[in-house]
Amino acid sequence: MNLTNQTFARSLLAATVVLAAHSGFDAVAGNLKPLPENVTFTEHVAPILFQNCTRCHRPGEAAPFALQNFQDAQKRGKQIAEVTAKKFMPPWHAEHGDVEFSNERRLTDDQIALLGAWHKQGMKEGDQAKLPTPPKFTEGWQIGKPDLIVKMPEPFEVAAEGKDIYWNFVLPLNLTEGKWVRALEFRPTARGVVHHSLYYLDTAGDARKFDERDPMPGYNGMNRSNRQFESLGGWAVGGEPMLLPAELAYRFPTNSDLVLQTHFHPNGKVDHETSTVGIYFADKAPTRKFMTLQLPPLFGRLSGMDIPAGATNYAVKDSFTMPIDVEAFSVTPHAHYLARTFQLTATLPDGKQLTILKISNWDFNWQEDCAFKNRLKLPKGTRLDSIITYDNSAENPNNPTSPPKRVKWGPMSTDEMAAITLSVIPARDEELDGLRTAKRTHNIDLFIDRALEDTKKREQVELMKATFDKNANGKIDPEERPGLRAFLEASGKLKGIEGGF
Amino acid sequence: MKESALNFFRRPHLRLASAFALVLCFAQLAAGAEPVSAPAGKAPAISVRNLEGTSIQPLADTGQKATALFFVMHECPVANGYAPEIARIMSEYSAKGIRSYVLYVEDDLTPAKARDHARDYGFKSGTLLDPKHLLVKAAGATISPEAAVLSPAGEGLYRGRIDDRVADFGKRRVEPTRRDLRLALDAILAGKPVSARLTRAIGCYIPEGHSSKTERN
Repeated sequence: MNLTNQTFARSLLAATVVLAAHSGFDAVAGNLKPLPENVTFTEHVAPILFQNCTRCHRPGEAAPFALQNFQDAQKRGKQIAEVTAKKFMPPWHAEHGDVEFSNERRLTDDQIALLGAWHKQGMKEGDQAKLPTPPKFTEGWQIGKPDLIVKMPEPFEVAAEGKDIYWNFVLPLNLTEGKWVRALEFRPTARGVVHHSLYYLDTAGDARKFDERDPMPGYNGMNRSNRQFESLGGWAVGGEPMLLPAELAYRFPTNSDLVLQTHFHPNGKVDHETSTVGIYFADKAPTRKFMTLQLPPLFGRLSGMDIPAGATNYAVKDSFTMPIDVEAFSVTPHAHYLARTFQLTATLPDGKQLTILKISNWDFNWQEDCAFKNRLKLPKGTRLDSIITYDNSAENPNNPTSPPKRVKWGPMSTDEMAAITLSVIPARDEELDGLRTAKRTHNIDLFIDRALEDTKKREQVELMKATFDKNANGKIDPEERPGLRAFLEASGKLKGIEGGF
Repeated sequence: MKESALNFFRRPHLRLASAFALVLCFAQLAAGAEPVSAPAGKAPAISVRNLEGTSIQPLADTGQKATALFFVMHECPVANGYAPEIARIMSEYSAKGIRSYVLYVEDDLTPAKARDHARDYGFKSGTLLDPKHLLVKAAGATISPEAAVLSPAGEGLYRGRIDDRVADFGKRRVEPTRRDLRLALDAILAGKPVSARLTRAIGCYIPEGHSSKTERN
């Protein structure tokens, strides 16, 4: 796979999943519009529900009950008022910073106030003439007939209860020639328990080997990471597929298998999932390149994260300075159950600070990609700073381990990860290598930092310092690093960390 | 379901009086007062239908040590997630003398749909319809799922969550740290006071009024 394909393929969730685009910015606190005297369903509530809720809250979709008409809303009026006030629904966790998201699913404070007032006023129906036309949704494939349809070879049984399940399924594509791909559309059968699915492309046949190790369909997704595969985005509850812009496409070589990593929530009854994926080919090769930057890289594998049991505010930080001019177009947070907050800040060369992503109440269940409404220019010299915090106390109800234990980086749900992934398009394609080199250097520096902390390899660390710490200050200073980086690259010790995200 | 089909109560004045007495019990329970017995030590004669249409008096004193009621709405994901635990509690405590019922509280749920739900979610028996909220009001239940335990005389002994696995909307512990209902039932069976007689259930609100249409398919 060439550079172009790799960089395209590595966009996490970014381009294939664009969730329904909805409301705009919140009203400024304390600046709410005055509430109407008579809040009614037809005039005030229906427009909010139809635009923000009904896509999922209708028969055959993932939400547990319908919100399509007055009776539906009246039955759930108190619930609607409470879950919207708490911002549990619609599900969206990124707060407003300096970037507007096109796929934001957030109600304005005015809308939340209207829903609360409607319940409080006794949930009146109102004038039928004011009822907006209920939304019409496309049945079946959302973006037309796919060029290729692949299906899980056998159903996967989801137990009635127990822990969340992450399972990988291998779907052979049997392509007779390489293809450019513009979109994937995921259709689950067990909508009540399928929460999200991430797509990967395996061109080495590894996934088939993992699958063959036991007679079960697929293989456990939390015991084996799919980091070695190309990421192709994914689908989450509420999501809809989107064709990539004409300038972008994924490359699928002939020997490719599609790997689905699907997250199931057991919910009281045994269910069976047989996912189908529709694949849409592009007519021609893409004309632009994009790549992803992850802070910290490799989902935090080199961050040295080591969260003590009971820690309530453990922070993982990273920084990266942009070596070329780029335009960013999406940001995706990732961690496991213990994470609590995410923040990604850009400091532009002129000193101006921009908050790109801010999450104060992370919920592992909603793996949201935040697509930018407008591409964000990040000139050469822009510094990105990320901070992700974790709560490993018993008071954190999401803590998967009771009593809490020390947690390090790893693929299991009881381990942790750390990443904020930014998808960027270089202003000039020919400068992409400069960005790749800077990423690689950053990864190697993190590797050096971790090596210096490694108490088990004290002798090797001392030898490393003796050779490369020219000024003998006990540290490997920035000017001493190039020599050590070159040595490590030549040594072959960096296998698996040079590229990555 | 047609309204007339639900109107199977023969002595509405007695039913209301009994329901009022039970509400009083729980009101006092909530206020921290000692629960009072239903008049003359008799359980209220509330009748509801099971999913086959047979009239049942779930609170009647027929020698049970206590009666456990589980209030559910069939489309409530929190209640559905609890279904296996509800079924386990019903089965395990039945052998110990606790009589248990699952009550579907929606007024627009047909018996056929309720039967489908009960089959899918493993409720093998003791499933009742409470579309008029006779038992909902008697027990003071507001949430799906919520459990209430009553003595044979109709005293409220426990009301609230089944356990603490649901910490908030969307926040579910892998395992509960406190199994409140089981603790209450164990205390009742041991003749000991229930340590926490009222807890806060988290789930779906039981609609306060009746929906404007009783028929919805």
